[in-house]
Amino acid sequence: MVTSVLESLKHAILEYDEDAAEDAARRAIEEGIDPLVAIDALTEAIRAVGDGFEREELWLPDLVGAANAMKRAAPVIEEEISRRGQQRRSLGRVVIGTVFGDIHDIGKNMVVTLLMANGFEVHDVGVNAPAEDFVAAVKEHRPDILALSALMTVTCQEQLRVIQGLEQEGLREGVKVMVGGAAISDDFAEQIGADGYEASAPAAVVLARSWVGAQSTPQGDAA
Amino acid sequence: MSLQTLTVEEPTNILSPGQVEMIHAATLDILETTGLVFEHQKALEVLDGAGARVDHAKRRVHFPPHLVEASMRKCPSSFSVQTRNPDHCIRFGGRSLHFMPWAAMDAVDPATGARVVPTTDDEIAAVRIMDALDQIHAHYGAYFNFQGVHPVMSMPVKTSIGLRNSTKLQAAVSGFDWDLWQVKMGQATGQEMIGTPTGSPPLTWGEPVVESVFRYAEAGFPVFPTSGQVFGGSAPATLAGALAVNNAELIAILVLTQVLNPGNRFAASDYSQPIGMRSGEALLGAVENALAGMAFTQMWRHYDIPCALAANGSDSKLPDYQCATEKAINAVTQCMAGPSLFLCGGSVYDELTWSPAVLLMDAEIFDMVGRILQGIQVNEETLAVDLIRQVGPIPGFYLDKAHTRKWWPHEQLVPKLADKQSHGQWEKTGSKSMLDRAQERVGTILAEHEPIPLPEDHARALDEILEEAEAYYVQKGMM
Repeated sequence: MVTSVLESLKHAILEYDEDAAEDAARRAIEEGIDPLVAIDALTEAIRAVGDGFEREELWLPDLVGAANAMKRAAPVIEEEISRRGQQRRSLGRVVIGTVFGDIHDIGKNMVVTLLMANGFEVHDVGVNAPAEDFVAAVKEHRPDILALSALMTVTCQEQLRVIQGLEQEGLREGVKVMVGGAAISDDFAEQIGADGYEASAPAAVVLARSWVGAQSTPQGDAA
Repeated sequence: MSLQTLTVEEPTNILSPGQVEMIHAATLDILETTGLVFEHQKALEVLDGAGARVDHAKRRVHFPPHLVEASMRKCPSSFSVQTRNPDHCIRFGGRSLHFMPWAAMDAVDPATGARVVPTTDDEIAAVRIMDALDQIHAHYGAYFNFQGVHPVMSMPVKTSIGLRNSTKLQAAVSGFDWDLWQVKMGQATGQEMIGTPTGSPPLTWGEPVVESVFRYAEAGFPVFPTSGQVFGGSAPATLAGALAVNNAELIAILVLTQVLNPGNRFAASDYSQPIGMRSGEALLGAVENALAGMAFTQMWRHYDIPCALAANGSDSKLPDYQCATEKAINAVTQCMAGPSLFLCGGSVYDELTWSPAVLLMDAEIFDMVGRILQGIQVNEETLAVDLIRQVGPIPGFYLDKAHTRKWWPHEQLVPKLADKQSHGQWEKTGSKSMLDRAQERVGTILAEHEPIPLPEDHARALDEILEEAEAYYVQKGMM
């Protein structure tokens, strides 16, 4: 019943049903389905949502709903990948979060969803995250990219503290830092020593792909 | 020169009395049942001691209605805020309406929409223009970000520029201990500042922001908290639910303020807007902001506590038709509801770009709001029945009558920038746009207006506070 359980998994993502997504992921593992195949099914479903968003058929609540469902299912499957000693096929690893003092996660979630749809392995440290949490996540996951979100003008300064924290821990050289948020500009990104800034979630994914050497047209980009 | 002060004689209501009661009941329910997180140990202790139910492990505070209502009764229904120029003092409450421009991250070229990182000279020029305009009652400078200034020092530098180049009321901004230096600067120059702590909705107040409330209350400065909610993101998508949770967030700070310093001056500030369901951006030019602001004002008039409305910008990137439409609709409708302070002006794209020329064009909107609020005088002289009988039908004519000479200046607003010429005359004078004329007037104001200088000992005190702030941030490893 491989097809059936994977269809249930995809259906749960497309219906934004978090409980059903986690349940389908557990059933897939119980039925012995290759977890790499299950992860591909998840990616296919989230990609469909990303495409629908780009075609302006779906809206932010749809994107966030699908991402939340995927976040419930993915750890179950990733745990099995790890248990089997397999390697997940990933375009690159990203640590992402919204900086301290800012609890806005909409923009971050858009980027998370589109990164996942493009095959990135994403570790989300959440919102209102202190600089120390970002530094710890970089130490733990050794990502290719660190993505920092800040919506408010007063909290975008906090992105600077994270970069300073990486420098103090000797981690800055090993990771590309991307900043985003409504208040950010290219000049501001340069001022605080970030490697890049993009103004929209799809553009952020294009930048991320270029940083890991993948130049082709990204999934989820209508262009 | 004294400032123009507008009066909202007959505030517009958008909610029925029953709807006001329903929203208030929902607010009390949220405060008592759901409660709010205060990420500040001392605040938890203080509120616990005042009668709130506090879950210290979860940092969650539940406010019983009797504590809420007792705290609201302690808030003054009107109050003055002192400035070093007595002509610039403001009295909030009653039916008076004041204007305060926005500030933004960057400067903008109004012709192209291009963002430019401003210099401190840009800030000085912008503050001097705000000081010159008699429609503007208060400000918090123009920009948040300056070339050559470390980001963490941007706010202290900005406040210093504001106090040196203007005697109008200024706002202090919470976070990064900026409020610490801003309070000191206000005290050193004999100028009170309004504190503007901003929340982390939903139902959360962060540590640095709550700390600023302690500092404002200790200094006795007025507190104007803002939630900063977005409908459908950090608040319900429904305006009624968003209003109830917004009120709860602000009342939580009201209670803390009144526990710390009973009678402390307080005004609730609304900064609510929908989330863009494609971009994720907060939509400051949304028409829903007009509805939300009017309802918010009505609720706080019901509480008899002054309020401010801040969600009044534009989502356009240029000072174009969209920009003017969004600002004007929000300004007219919300000001008619009777807030004490209306924040708008200078910004183009949300709180991200700002232009002095745009502020001058926005001041025209304030003048139009003022004319509308002035209303229609109806009496024997304005009805002019005797004159109408005297003039009769054609060839009767009113332009040459003494009644016209007396009354037209009271009845008709003559705009300073809007074009009211004939088409031919407009062509002969260079076919200029309103923006062209605004940019010319920026130059004129900067050439002619000289703010009242800051006494030398006050200026030295500001220098010392800036040095202290810089040493503080260096010591903390923040610069």
